[in-house]
Amino acid sequence: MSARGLTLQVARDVAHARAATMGYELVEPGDPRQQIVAACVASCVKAWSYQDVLQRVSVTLPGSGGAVDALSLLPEVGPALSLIARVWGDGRTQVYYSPAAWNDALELATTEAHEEGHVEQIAKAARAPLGTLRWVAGYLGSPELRVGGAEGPSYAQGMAVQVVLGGISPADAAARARRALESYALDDEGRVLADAVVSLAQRSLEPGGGPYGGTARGVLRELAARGVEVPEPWR
Amino acid sequence: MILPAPGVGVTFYSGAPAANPEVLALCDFACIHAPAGRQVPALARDARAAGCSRLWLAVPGNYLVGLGHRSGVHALEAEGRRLARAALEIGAEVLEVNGEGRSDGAASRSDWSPEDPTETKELGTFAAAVLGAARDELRGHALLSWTSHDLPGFGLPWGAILGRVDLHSPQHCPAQKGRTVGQRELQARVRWSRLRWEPLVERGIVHADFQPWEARWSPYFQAHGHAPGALVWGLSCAPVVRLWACPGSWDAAVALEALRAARKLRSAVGYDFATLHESGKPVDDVGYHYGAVKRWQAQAGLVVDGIVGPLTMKSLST
Repeated sequence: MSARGLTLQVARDVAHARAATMGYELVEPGDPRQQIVAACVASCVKAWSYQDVLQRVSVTLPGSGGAVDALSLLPEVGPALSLIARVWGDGRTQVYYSPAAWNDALELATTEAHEEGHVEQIAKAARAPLGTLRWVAGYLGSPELRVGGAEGPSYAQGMAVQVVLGGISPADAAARARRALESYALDDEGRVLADAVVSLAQRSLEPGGGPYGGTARGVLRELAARGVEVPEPWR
Repeated sequence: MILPAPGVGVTFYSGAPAANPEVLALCDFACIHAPAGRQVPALARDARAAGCSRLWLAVPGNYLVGLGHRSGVHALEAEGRRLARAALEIGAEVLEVNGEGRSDGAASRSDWSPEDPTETKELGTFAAAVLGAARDELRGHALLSWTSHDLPGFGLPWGAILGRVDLHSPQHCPAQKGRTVGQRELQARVRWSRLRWEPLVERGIVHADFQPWEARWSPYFQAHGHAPGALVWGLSCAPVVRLWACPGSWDAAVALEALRAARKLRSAVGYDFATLHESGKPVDDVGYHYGAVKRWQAQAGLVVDGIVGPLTMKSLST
């Protein structure tokens, strides 16, 4: 059950508006770059097939600076990814929306909150010397950093949209997030950290918890401004 | 804005500070956690005699809710003044009210964990009465602080509470029985706490200075269930920090190792800078602060990753 007023068109409008506000490039399904990105991601994550990634996985790629240098160091796929970022982009962070997200209103709103989490993480990292390089290197090289500094917080943002707009219970949203995080090649420490971050979000979403800050709140506010029924504390 | 001098403190709960000289020697200040009764001056005298000149008085505050229900706001105002006089009598630099609810976060009518907006409003009246009166009685001779859980209890009347205190000491408490919390998990907890404050700050209910890494944030950490490195990070992440609670909730080996290392680190490189610190130091990859741990690592010629691992601990113990 989704919130009243949440249509696919509204969710897409919000995605474009948020991309303009936050300064990232929104790449819709069908863009030729997406096939290359999907092939690269599929070759990095053995659990996912190319078709899985192409249809179901949305991806955020840093657009400039040291992060692109770090991407280029990836074995096999690095040159292609850095080429996309350097030549085929305009220096902004790129968010590739999968068809699965782009064609379902709730999934799109959830994915916006998640991927925008990465956009914010990259922007914050860029404020430090070699920050984006270190962020990308950490993401690729350390399961703990991948979870603690990137995917965990992003899934926590998506959980908020699922619960607030989708009527999903906090426990179910947490279970989905934990399952999804398992695909990020976690080690024991990464798994503990993933569980901690998801549990914090779950507790916050339970009755009496109250809203939390971050990209989910921005997405929900933008949706509310376009007539979607969003509970008051999250507006 | 008046704030306490920077320092590391330990809360002594159900025990005399002077009975723990090794701990006391590693503290800049001792926090006596006790009801404001006759035993407090004696505990303060003993702590001073043992060499600790800076004291806080932390009073358990759940009884105030019952007092409010039974006797009303005038009784709470009188109690607030009494608590303030107890703090002034021992020369405490901070009077703190411990207004926590149940540790499981469940609502109750007899503590600071409201069940609904009506009770939140009522607790706001109680908080305004007791804290307002205490603040008036302190007359600036001591500061006023509030402590409670960092995540549950966000239904508390935060505007009424934090609008009347100088400091907030949220209890960042991820430790659970049977496992050890590492630095990244503790950091995740504190960062999450900051996210929880943001909506309240945006709505103007709470001043931004009370958020983690801001000026009126005085983090409070468990001295058990953590890796020593996690606590070293915690004890260096703000100007005024504290561990609880000696000797009851206390892993002596971990706490002492962390206190020694944190003191060395703080004396060498200070504590975390806020994002817009006048030093002009760059923020780190978290975006909120420039970490003291990283500055220590850079100074010690270690890999600068901000994590207090074995090599960093070794460098702090030699």
